[in-house]
Amino acid sequence: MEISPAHIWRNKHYRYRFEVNVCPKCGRAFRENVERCPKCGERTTRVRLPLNGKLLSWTKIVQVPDGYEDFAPMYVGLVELEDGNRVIAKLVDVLEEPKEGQEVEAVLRRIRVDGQSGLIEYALCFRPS
Amino acid sequence: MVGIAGWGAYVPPYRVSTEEIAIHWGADPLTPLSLGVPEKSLGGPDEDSVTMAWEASMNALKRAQIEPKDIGMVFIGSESKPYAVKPSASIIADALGIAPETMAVDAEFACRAASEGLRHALSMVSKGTIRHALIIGSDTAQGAPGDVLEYTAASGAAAFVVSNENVVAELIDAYTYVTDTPDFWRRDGSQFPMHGEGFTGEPAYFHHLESAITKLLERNGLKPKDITYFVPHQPNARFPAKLAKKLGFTKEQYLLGLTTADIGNTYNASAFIGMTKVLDNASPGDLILMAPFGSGAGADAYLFEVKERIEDVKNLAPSTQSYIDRKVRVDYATYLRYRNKIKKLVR
Ligand SMILES: [Zn+2]
Repeated sequence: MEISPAHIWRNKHYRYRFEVNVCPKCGRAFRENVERCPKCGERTTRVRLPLNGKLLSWTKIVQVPDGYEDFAPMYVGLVELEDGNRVIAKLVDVLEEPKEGQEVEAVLRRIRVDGQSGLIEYALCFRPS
Repeated sequence: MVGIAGWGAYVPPYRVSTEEIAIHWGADPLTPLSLGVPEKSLGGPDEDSVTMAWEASMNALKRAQIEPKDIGMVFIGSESKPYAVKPSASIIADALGIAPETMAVDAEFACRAASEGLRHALSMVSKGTIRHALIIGSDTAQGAPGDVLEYTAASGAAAFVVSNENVVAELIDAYTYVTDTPDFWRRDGSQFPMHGEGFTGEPAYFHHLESAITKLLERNGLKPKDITYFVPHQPNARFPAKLAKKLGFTKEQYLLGLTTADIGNTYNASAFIGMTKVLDNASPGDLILMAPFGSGAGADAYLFEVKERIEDVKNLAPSTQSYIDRKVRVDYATYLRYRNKIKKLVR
């Protein structure tokens, strides 16, 4: 397993700040660095999503992939943000079983660690608020 | 006027009993209690000094009501950096929306690196070199298993926004006292710090703090009784009480900011977290004397006067006490795993 520098650098606007590229014409939001809307060709603008929302659904992962060993068991949730956008992110500080509909807030955490000498990947995750 | 415009703390939710640590190693369970630290905070497996710094900074920015992009310097003091080489400050600056038009620096001076940053920030902002600065102290527990440091080394972060605008605590004066004193160290490449046992007290902690505080009071024509709150560095709960007594401060002046008694010593965040709790409770006109100390060794003494604006912004972020109260006990084995002191050998 190797976390590439380009991977961290390319994703940081979304991983660190929940910034997405929004099409002013159709309103679609993209996590990826798309300069033009793939649907209607309009130039997109950077928008920051809210850091609060509610949990719609979640799952627990016991057999975690490489790089996630420190975090097992791992919880992943589908969250509806205050503005209606839906995102998938890691759930943290899970002290009791998550509940659908519970309020959550985003916090910056480690999500993946590349061995003893590779890179550390940080991202906004959700915890119960 | 230059001063603190926003303050914020972060303490992770996990706590381990220090008595349990002593029992685990066959040591006297009364030792951690004599240090006045019955339990200490630790971060979860996904937390480190960067993630804790992020949350403390978010809280400080909310209270400062200042646009992140207008911050001209991010300064973090830590002795538990995730990377030996690669700045934590640039991760934090980017994640908070402060980058790219900013200075960013990671500093090391044991527990007072962040305080060195606060002095730089106050000076640079008052001279107009930068408009605002973000100063962070953040550390994770680094005591070696079985060492007495394990009873107190805790995790937490605190951050201040320094500005000429939106000031809640105006700087009256600051003074720094530094000498070469080998009381505590960690060599390059070693995982855990070493210390000079009893030598950490008189020639280090007490001499430097007494010298800095006495000089600061003297040159401002003040006596300890003129100060509302006294917040010194707090490696345990016993040293600050002894220091206060020597200098003539009362319990009413120092107990509010003595957060080590609840969560342990958070190193670069030690005096800073105490200061955030004092600001949560302070009133306009109060005089606060904050005095961080770092081994190696140096002490800073700051005099702040609390301003009217504080009442309007206290509730814009969670109080330090709310983080102290939000706690979950874990056992010693969980502590070792969460803090990377034991590793899974089978993947
Ligand atoms: Zn479109």
